[in-house]
Amino acid sequence: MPSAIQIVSKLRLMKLKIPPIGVNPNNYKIQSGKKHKKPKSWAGNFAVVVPAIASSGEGGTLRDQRKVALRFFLAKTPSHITQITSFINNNPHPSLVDCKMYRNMLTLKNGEKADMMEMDFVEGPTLDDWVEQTILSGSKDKLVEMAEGIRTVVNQLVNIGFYHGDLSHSNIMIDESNTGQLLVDKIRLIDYDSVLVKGISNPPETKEVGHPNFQHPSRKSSRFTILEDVFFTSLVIYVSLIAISENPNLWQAGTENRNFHSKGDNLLFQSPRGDLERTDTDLWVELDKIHYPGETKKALDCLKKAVNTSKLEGSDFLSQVEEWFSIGTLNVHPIPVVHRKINKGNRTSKQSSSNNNLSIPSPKPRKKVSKPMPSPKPRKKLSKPMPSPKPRKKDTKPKLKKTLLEQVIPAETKRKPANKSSSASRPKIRQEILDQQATKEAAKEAAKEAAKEAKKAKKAKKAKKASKEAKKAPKEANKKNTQKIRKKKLKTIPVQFEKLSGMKIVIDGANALHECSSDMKSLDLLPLQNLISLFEAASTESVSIIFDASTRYKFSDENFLQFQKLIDSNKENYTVAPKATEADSIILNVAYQTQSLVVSNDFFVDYKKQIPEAHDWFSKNHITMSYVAGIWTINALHDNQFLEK
Amino acid sequence: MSTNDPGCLIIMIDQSGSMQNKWGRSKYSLNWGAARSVNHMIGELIQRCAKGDEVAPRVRLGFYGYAGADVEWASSKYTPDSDGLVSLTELADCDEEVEDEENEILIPWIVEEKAYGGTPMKTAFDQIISIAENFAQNHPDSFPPVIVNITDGMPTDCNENDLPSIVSPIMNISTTDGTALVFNIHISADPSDPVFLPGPNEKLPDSYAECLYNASSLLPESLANIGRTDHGMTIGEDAKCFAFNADSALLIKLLSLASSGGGGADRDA
Repeated sequence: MPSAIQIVSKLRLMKLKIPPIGVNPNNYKIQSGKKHKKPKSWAGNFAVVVPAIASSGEGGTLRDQRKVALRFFLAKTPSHITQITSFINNNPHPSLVDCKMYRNMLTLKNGEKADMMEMDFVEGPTLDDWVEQTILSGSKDKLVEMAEGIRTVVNQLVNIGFYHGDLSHSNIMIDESNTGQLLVDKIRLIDYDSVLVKGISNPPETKEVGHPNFQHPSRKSSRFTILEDVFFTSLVIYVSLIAISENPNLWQAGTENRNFHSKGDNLLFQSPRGDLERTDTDLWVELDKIHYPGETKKALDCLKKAVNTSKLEGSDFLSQVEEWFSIGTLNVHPIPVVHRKINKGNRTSKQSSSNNNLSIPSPKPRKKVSKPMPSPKPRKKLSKPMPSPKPRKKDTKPKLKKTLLEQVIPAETKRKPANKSSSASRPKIRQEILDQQATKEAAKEAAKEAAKEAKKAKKAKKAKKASKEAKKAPKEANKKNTQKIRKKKLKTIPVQFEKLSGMKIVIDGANALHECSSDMKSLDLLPLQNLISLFEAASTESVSIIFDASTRYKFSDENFLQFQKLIDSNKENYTVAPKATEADSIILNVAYQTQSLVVSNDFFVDYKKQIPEAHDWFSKNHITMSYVAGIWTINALHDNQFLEK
Repeated sequence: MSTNDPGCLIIMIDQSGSMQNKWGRSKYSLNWGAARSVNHMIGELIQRCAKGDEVAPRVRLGFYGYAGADVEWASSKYTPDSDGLVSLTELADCDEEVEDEENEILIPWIVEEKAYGGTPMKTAFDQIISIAENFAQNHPDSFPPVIVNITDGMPTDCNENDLPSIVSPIMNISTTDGTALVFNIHISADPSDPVFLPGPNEKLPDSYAECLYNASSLLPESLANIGRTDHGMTIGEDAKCFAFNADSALLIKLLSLASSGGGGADRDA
């Protein structure tokens, strides 16, 4: 593999000029550093990066010139790199830099060829230099804003399916050319060698294991980035920034010999000193002395627990992170529309013709992420104690004095058996990538068994429903709840919509979508909207819908927008569950506390023991649904109390 | 290696009279070739630790030539600090360069070539011990010191059979990250095939090779893996930090390997 000195020497022997090569039409003039004729460069184990001025066409006019960063790969160029660049082009995000791969840009003396990636040049400091400047300028409050900004960006990127995999002090840059007020808008992530994007079918094996001062010791070189890695690293950065803001002495800005910050190597945590393996190191002693404001204490606790965990994958780390870290941020801020600088000289004519003005928005409007993040909403709503309209005897029990949220979260945590595989605690987006195979098999298996059951039932309609149910989300297939219930041969009675007049309805949104969609990976929204209008037409008092957090990943782009619109148009009644909290427990609690009927084909048997009062209410106020030939039919079990009214 | 916990690399270069001989099949002398390889390695380290216009002080280096009856600092352009070492950052400003046309590489000429007199290898090791010890005491969390001895012949100030016992105190120097490593890399005018990083069952060319083998450290698995993946080397179990009859390409690889202790220079880009 080429060495850094080989690449830099070659560039110098080329007098710091790269002519158009192959499909690359650009001339590059590499910028000298302090020393004349020697390029300014940044390097690591995998690449050498030099700043350059790119210009297209012959000679390049002044107008065409743009500042770029050229990244030359030392080791073999990661095989998935073009998938990453095309993902970024298709899913532009303001924190990602534009990049283009060019093969065989440099031919070395021994015949080896080096690939090059042309990237946007970010005008500004790396995160560690920014922290130094910020502390020296006395504005340490900005550190908290930065911590939250990075948290927001990481969460947004995870939501669109971009896992950076090597976030560090040097791969996060602060773009000073962005003159906005908010720091979050200035955050730019660079270095995409370790990136995994949604949809990569064969994640390459890699020796890229991320910066050791930011990675959990259990990160392996034999596997590719996983969500645990992304969130662990984010927590390391988040906790570092919060801790420094509370105690800037940890950083020792401007001094020569520092205890915890090692210039150019880290923020506070140092892997060789055991900071990411044990929580009794000198750094941890200092971290424990700090008072962490508000929710940030959770970050410290979560990180501490992760550091004390020998293997992150398969631990409950993700569900802990998802309880709060991955849910928005303290000051939720919608992702702005990308105003990407258009590099005219380097674009196809089609692109440049529609983008003559540098400041006009990107022609492809942002889809999924252009809306405010929905996840914090339910949290806000739920943290208020729900008024219980009809006081009942049971309400006097001390447990009910807890807020709804308090009931929901622990119930969910307990519900998961300890020996359940880690995939259960992963968000669905991750499951889609890695567990597709397992999911298919589980669903197949369940469908088989369900079909058998259905045969016994001898009723054609029931058979159809049973097999449909079995095809549902893997979670349900695995639980096989539906089977248990079906064995009881419950008697169902058709219900007229009119009968529900004056009642409150809570719809299990994900369940309803599964019932009416033929493709589980691309859900139909229209039938659900029909169902809602049927309930509304029946003069029900209210219709609430609660979705799983993962539901939004299961739409086509078009349906996603509509889904988002639906949620936004009725924030009072339509809710998406926070991550890691399945909608189930929320549905049961909301229904119980607001005395609503539940519309779902799930029987929620897992909750019978955990939230008996809520489950008891549900079992007597439960409507099932089926969608056949475009017609919704609703049924109730014969012992449902509302039928008596 | 990090700024807080820098690495320590001490190069001992045999500058005895025999180093004037032509190196194997090459067109240049052993002493010039050895200097070129060492300078190549320093140049690579400088690039690897570059951050814009700065070079991070992640490594402290020592260059000691031994010839005649003396052990001398081998770079007239730089003087060592009181610990007998110099920071990589300082070396970054070297203006004198040599173009290695064979490889199209511009090499900063930091270590100078020299060749005269005998081979005071024992004296050199004895002097290195205190430098390495001192470093380990002052940098308890660093990757342990790495000592690379480049030589073309037998010591003239001791019996070659005593080399293992002369070197063993160095191997006892330790930091929290392990014990110091001693590489012995033999180069010679003999153009026959080299032996490198041999395991315990590998046959060595002669009894002197055995002595040097026994005076070399066991190659840590972390370095063996770097050698396999980054340099495509075939390295067996329990390999030793030793090579016999190395050519210049091999010497550069081994120097690169020796300098990648602690997980490599930098992980920034």
